[in-house]
Amino acid sequence: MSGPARVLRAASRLRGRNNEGFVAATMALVVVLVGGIDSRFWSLATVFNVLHDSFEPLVFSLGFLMVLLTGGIDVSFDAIGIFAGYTLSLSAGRPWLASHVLPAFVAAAAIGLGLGVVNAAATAILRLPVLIVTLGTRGIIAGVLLSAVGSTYVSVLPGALGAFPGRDLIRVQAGGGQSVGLHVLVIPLVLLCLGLAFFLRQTVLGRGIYAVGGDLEAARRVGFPVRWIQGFVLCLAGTFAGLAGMIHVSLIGYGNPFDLVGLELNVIAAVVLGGASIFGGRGSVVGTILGVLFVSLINYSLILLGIPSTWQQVAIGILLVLGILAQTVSRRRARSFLATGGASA
Amino acid sequence: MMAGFGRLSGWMRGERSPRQLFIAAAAVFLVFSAASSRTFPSVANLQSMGFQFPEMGLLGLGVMLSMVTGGIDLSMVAIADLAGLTAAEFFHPMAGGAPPGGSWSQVVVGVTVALAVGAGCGAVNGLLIGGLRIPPILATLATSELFGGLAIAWTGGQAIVGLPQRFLEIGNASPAGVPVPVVLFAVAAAATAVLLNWRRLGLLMTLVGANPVAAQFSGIRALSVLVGTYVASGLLAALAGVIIIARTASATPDYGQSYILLSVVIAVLAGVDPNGGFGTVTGVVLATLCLVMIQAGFIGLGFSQFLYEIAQGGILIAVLSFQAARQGRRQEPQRRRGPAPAPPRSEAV
Repeated sequence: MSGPARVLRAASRLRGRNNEGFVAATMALVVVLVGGIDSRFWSLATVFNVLHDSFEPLVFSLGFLMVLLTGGIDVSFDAIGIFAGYTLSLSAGRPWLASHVLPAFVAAAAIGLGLGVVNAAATAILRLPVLIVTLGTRGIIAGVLLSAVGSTYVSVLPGALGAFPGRDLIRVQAGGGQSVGLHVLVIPLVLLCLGLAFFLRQTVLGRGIYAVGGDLEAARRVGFPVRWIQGFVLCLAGTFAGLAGMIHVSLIGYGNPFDLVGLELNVIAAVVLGGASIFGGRGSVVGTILGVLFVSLINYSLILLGIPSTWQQVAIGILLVLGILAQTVSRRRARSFLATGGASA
Repeated sequence: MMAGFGRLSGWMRGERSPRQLFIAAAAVFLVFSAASSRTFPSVANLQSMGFQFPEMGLLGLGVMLSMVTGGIDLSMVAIADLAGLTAAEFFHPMAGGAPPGGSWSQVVVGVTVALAVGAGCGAVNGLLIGGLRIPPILATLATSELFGGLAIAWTGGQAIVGLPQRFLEIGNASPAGVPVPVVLFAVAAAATAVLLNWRRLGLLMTLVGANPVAAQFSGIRALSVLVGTYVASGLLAALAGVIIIARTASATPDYGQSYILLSVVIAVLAGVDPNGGFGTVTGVVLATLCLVMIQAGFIGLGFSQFLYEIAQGGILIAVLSFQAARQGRRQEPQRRRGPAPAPPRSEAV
């Protein structure tokens, strides 16, 4: 094996199974470049801000990833999220919610789970693709929220929820006398990511999720309960969406039933940037975390560099084109390598 | 032989014809006409629907074309916004203060510029999908962000107002009682039908969508077919963008985000096969009509706008599960008799 080939092989190992290394390297490049232009960038404040911006999209993305791994595309998660978050913002004054935020998150997760069960049942009974079922249920969920639950803006969240945005673990001084905190949510979210990664890699059900997305018929013949797995991921995605909606409402400090609409494409973009295949069977928790952090990092860098926020979407669009291109090309190369028996790469 | 016969008799029974949709549209019309007999079948209400439905229908037609080739175009709304904004920017320096009338030639040039932008954006999509072989859903997701982002960045997120009066007539005039958008839509729908059914490109699109591998081995160059497809859907999107800015008298860079999924709903409701190979213009027209009539009917009855969203979701699921049930019944006996059915294709669109 010649020198360049060895370098290539080492590089491909670093790149990770789903291009995670590629995203990480690009992130490092962005950090170096932006920091070179403005050294304020290299600070804890940046880390805290990027993390803070990533909480809500991360939880949505992880839920979306679960369904995507089985080969389904769930577009109802934003409707489920705002349904759960807004419903709880309406009842934030109730005594059982006033003293602690935990009941609110549990209740939001329960609402999300309930709506996820609806998605799962509809998919199982109607035997239609997830995309089509959730296109329908998202309209129904949003409609029920606005016509039956409420359509007015809740501007103040009382009690523990109202104080939640300021619950920081530590605070550091940033430029201009402002301080930036690391929000307490980072702990449960790290645990959630670790738990989910373990679940996907080490449990039979987790492997089943990949199996269903990789090859439905093969998974069925191996003996995976395909329909149950397809339903299970929708329930899980609903639960995650409920949690994410609650994170959105509690961090932003108000309840607006019209929020989050049109978020679908951004979440899909982050998950895809993180290396997940849109056809299922490929993707990882690490990749999704990187994808979400990457999008937040770009947005934050643009703000810091004084580039008008209106250019954010262009930047994300270009990144998405490049990221998808890199994936498509590298995957095709891998495939042709296999096809020729490894004789020529 | 048996399969061929089954398919023929299925076609004769109207298995894939939009007959059900036609019945559904007629039923919707009759129900709302009965419920509010004074207002719903009135000329004024029909005209008002006539101003609403062309933009939705045009987006639906574009998604249908992309689905026929086995793809999907999620970037149509972004293209519509960008094309509309380009036309508005073209008119803007001429306006220079007081809203002038503008001449017909200016209007023609402005609309042509918008269509050119639409064709250009569509060509980018086609090259990404056909040339670099990126999955259509990903390519158009990315270009949707890109084109939409360009529109927002161009104006700093501001809307452009002050369009020439003669241009606004495209979206607001109704000579002889027929709204201009309806005329434009009819022309576009007819052109799409001709393209799909009577032109070489249309046949190639269907072949590529029905079986990409067979198409490749038959010597069909997928690149030119796909570029043609997405240029066509880009043109339809640009026309929708022109109608939108003329109707609302302003160009908003992020207008109609909810139209993205709505256009998919229309195409699916129209009986277009998301896996490629089948789609009809009639189906898209009828599906759009159904949705617009229900929306107008709900407003007429004083129902909330939100109930309409529920109805829209419910209709989609109901119609599709009905179709699936019929298809399932048709396939059951074959499955027992013939060889094992082909493994289901990816459910991701």
